[in-house]
Amino acid sequence: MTNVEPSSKSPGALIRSAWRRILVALIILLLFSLTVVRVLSIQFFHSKAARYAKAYTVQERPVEAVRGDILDCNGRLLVTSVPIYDIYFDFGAEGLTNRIFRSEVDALARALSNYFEDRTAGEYKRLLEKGYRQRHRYFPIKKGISYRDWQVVRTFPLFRHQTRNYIVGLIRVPRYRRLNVYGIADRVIGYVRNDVKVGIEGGYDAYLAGSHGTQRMKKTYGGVWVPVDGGYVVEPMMGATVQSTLDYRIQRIAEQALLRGMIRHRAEWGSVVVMETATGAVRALANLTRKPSDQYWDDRNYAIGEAVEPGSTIKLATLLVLMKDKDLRPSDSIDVDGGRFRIYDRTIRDGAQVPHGYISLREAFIYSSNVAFGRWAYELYGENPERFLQQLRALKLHEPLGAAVPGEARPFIPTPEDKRWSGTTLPWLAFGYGLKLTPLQILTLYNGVVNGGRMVKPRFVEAIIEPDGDRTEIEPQTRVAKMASRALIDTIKTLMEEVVRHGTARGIRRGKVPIGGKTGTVWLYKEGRYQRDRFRASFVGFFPAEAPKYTAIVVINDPQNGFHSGGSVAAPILREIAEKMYLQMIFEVPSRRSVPPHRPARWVDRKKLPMTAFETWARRWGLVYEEPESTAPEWIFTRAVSDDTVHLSPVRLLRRDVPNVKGLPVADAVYMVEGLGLKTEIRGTGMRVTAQSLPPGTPVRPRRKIVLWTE
Amino acid sequence: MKDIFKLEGDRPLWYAIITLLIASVVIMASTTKVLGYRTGQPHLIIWLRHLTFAAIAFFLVFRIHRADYRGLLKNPWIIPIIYWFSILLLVLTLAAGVEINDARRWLRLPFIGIQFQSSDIARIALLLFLALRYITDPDHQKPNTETPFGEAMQQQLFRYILPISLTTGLILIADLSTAVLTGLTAFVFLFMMGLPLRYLIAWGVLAAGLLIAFFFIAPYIGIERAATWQNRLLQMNQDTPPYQARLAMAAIHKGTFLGAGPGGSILRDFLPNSFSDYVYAIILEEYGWLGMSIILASFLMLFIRGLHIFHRVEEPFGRGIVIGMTLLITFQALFHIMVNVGLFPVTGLTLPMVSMGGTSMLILSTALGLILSVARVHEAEKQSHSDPHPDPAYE
Repeated sequence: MTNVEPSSKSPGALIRSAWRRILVALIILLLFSLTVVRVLSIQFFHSKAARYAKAYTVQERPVEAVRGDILDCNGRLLVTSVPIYDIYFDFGAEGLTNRIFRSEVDALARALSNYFEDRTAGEYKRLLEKGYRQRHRYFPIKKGISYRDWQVVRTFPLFRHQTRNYIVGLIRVPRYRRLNVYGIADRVIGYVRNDVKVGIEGGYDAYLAGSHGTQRMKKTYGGVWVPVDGGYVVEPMMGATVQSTLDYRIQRIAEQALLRGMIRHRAEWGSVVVMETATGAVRALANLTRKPSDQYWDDRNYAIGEAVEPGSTIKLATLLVLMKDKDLRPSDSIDVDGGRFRIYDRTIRDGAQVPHGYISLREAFIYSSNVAFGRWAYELYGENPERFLQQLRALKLHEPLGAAVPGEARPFIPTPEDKRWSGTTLPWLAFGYGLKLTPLQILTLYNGVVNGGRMVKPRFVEAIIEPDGDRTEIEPQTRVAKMASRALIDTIKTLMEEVVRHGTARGIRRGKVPIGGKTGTVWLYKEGRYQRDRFRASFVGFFPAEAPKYTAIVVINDPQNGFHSGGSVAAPILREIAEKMYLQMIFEVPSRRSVPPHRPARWVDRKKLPMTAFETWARRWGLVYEEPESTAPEWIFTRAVSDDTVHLSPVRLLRRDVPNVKGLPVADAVYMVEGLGLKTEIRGTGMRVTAQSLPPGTPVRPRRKIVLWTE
Repeated sequence: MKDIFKLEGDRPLWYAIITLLIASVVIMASTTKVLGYRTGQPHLIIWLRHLTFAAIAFFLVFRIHRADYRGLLKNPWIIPIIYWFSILLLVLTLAAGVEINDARRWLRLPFIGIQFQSSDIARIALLLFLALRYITDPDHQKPNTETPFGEAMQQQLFRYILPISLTTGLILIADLSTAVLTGLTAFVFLFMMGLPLRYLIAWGVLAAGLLIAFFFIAPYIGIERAATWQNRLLQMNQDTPPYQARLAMAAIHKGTFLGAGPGGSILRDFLPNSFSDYVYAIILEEYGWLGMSIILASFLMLFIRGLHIFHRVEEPFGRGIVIGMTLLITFQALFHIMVNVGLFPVTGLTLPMVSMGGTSMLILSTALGLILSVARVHEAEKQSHSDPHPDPAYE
């Protein structure tokens, strides 16, 4: 290289043009000023920047209150809120290099596919590739997974690249899901979704929802909002617990009996309501719809929402009106001739079970004669139909029940002012055509009679229990204080018992529980006319007949396997319910207490029973049994080995194990384990659970205590 | 004794450096939290490490400014060796570098485990090399009007343009923005050193043409980053800026007058590289106009004092070093700020002396130390002119 020498000694050779310096200085200054102008414009004139900034400012954000639980009438937990998680992936995360993604995407797709079994590995891979191509920062991977799922998912390839507290790209967003603990009474428990309110959840939303609080929060890494200073601006109020009138045991019995009946008769839909006679408390409410695939779903609340022609079950009201208003006696008779009676252009027909010629009011009721009731109504009220309707109105039949569960269909009873009113309307009304009532409205009418003439409003909720323990009872409300004189009511009750003993429901007369009631069989009105070969069968009954505790209705729409009458289709379902309730000792049959069955062990053979109920039967009838091996099961399954020896095996209602809550935020952990019926005690003041007294996998026993330690 | 600790060279420039280092240490106290969260290390440790680097950087500036920059000329091979070594590093990086965010820009030193961006070293080496080439240029001593245009171009091609092209070209493959920054710095360097305008215009047009051609050809010759560049440039014109740009805008918007206060940044948790590529936005978010003024004033001071020293010094190699290093730092700061405020497409450039990154800070300290060294020697020399004793530096 050339010899280097400092050349500062030759000043004349220097090119020191000032303009170059000045030009560069000016340009640099200009650019710096430009950045200042830009900063000011971002701060004051840039609407988008303001919008971007807002998402990252400390904000008062709503903190959702935890929704209250729903209990059954004995305090058993029916519905609770459990934490679940939506998981997202941040494909723009630092640390997610092309090499890591490429080498693990296949394994991850396989792991996801194997675990969730909802997509093939190929589909998952395409999905992940798509997210990666877009460098999507909030790519949904899977929604609504449980805490246990989360613990597995976080160990998957790609997701497991994590430091002590930071998982590359994996984001979990917690929320609460309503859990129907036993999966029963879906429809009557209902839901609240957006503005749609269904069932008890909907009707008591104001109590269950609690009130949102607010909290100052900021977004942190991974897009999660965290509280800035711990406290709340407005404290969220946890929702109140609603104790429903439903009885878990009765609900299960009713649902199972209905399902069996639906399958046996391949019916279109069916509905069962069991009501406590004295208080109007709905102890069970079940509905089923047959789907094209011959599956039966509880997807519509027919009992409340479907007003249909009641048919013969309305004869109770007609009977009441005739006896009360026109002083008819059960022995008064009328000519039904050959079971046909023509009024104007229409003919009333009787079923084959009704005797011909002159029949008494008693026979007309227990054999369900359309001709007799139609003729009586026509002859006694033909000139003055308004008087008949007035009598019905006195029974509040035209008024909705106004029960707290939303979605009630309005009853329909025609009036002479209606355009469609004709000379035949009234007599047809008297045996149940031309008017529409819901199963629950019919049941309420019957319940009033069974309750000695005091009609009470159906109730779905026993009490509201505030988070602080304050309990507000929902008292029974009287709808009609006195439907008729006591003597008259007793007569009608006796007639209803006779329906079972001799009449249309005599198919269910044998049994350990005496039942009274009334059948109904209606032609279905379809495609503009009454279909002579399609029916709706119903039965409204009460039991035990001597001292009624429960009133129930069973409606089976369009049964298709040969049987179609209320007595042969609906009544057996009600009897099954009554018998099982009796077996489980939900009520006693007073007069039969001392009469032991001939072979007592056979009587309780192959039954699922609460242990306490079984023990009582065993004591009463001297059954021999061995204590089941499992310690004190709540429920047992019986098998008779001889006439008086029973083998017991424990029944687990629902497989529930203590979950692993280690690492979970304390609040989530508490909801999870309390949702399973455990009682929690928290030791320590940390944010997360570090240890639990019951190890994961331990079977849950209600009200057992679990200690959660935090740091 | 007192003189041992005396800050010599140029006082205002010293103040600018110290201000930047303090600002860096302060802002890192906030941004290291994110890094700590992600790496699992206690963030205090990360911050202390940064503090240590800042202290070492200060010491390095001090040490170098006390040395005589002319030592680099003692042996004519020193600077060429540095230059070719930097080229070797660039090649090594491309061949065996560490991939961060899909680009190979970092080289990990074996055994020590320190990572650094080889382009940081290459830029300084290039400018030193150009300064050397300049003073050995026989033409620079007289305004060259006699040499025919073509012949002069040919001479300049070998003297300046090929070294520049080699460095920028190697950087370009992994890092477009740093390449542009390096090329621009070298170009303005030549401008400031007095290369006649007609040549500059000719070279400038040529470089711009090549760059545009490269931009469009790159995707077809297998350079994977090309897609990213094109995306970013296209995104500049879109209604919705890219993610980082949106977050930076949010941070700046929130800053306004007083800012969110120390540690009050929220965007630091979201902005990728809030501790390096987007530190300016975070400073604005936390310290508002005050932070902005301090940073801008420091860099403007640095630039103006650099120009001032450049103006005062007569010795051409010292002038070359001063203007080269000044432009290098100023342009990098300017680019960083423009990216942060959204006047330039999203790209990863650190804010000199402020962003986290120990080695980068040390390399820039060397550059600053050299500027101050030139200033100090020049001052000492001026004193020696009035002094009967000759300057000991001249032996």
